[in-house]
Amino acid sequence: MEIDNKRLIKELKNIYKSIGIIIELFEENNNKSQKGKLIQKPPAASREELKEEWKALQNRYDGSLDAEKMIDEFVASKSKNYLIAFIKANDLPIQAKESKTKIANGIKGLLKVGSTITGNKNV
Amino acid sequence: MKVMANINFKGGVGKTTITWLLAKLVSENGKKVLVVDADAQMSLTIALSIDEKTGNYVEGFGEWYQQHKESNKTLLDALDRYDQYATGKAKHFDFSINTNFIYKVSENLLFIPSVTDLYWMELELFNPESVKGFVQALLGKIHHSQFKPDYVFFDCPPSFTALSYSILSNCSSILVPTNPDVFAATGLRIMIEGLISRIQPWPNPHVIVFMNKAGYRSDIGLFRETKTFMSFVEQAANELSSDRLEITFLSESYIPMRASIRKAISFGGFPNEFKPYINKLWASISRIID
Repeated sequence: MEIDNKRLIKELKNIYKSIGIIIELFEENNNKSQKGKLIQKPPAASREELKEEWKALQNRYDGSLDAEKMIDEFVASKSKNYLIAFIKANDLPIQAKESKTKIANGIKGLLKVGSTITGNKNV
Repeated sequence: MKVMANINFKGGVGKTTITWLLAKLVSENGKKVLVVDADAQMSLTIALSIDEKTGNYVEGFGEWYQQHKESNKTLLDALDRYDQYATGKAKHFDFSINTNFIYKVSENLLFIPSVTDLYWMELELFNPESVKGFVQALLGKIHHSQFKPDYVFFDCPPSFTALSYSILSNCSSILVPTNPDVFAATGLRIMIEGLISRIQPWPNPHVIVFMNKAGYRSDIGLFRETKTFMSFVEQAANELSSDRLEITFLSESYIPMRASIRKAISFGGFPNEFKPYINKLWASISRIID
């Protein structure tokens, strides 16, 4: 009887261990699929909203240090996914794969050029 | 008779080439077109008259051009005659329009070349205000001559001269080619602001802006950089446009950058790959001016 109990306990431990592994695998798969969903998730803003945002940046840009800071903060506050969509929606000649710093510099450069061409009175 | 001036204060944007290609297209469509090289740098005159391979004048043009100068029938001579009239030294604008003044490239394509003397003489001899009515008077004579063109294209110098002042004061539309770069695109605003402050009163010309040398590939379309510049130029055009001076940016009618554009000007030359773009550009311009 005692032997049977020991065997039973051993088998239960094995089952428990197996269940643990299954749970871990399940959790791992679940996390992976969640991450996949995150990547495929469309940006919160629509194409029109992204275009409006670009217009708003152009209107607010006045070439000052504060304006430069505004661009840095704008880029820092957005996810990479959002910035990719932002660049694409506005056809900006900026490499979306670059770092946020380079994206911010690219945006600042375009805003300077745009201000020169349009004669932005803010500048 | 519709009169168009092709101008941008930035040199090298493609004024001369576009003027020529548009004129050639319109003339091939059965309309009589007169092209006037008003630029003392003579780019169009040289391009049309010199055979690239031999360096000699194209057959027929050399003799004609010599006669054109010897018979005092150049654009500068016409301007001089008008100046004499405008300043009270002559009773009439005595300048007859004949085949020594206008060269016939083909049945429908006419040409008035430039002369290098225009470069200096114009600055020294003419007061822009006194010769302001020159182009209107000259076009009046041409309209009543044997030539009678339907369209006149002026290839203007990239600056304000007495002649360009007169052209801009008397044309029905101003074509402004620009390029996807900051210098050419900025030139638009500087020029329009200059036109508004310097050319008065207006005969209400319509300013038509379009992109030349656009970055384009058939598989991907317009380059993003070109699109961005087009967007900036369109904004500038919209902001500068007013009741007094209407400005339209042709966002759909661009001319792509192609190496073969270099071969675009020569008697008879018209690279086929440009035809659809020039056709589209002219269709857009026609919708505005006709």
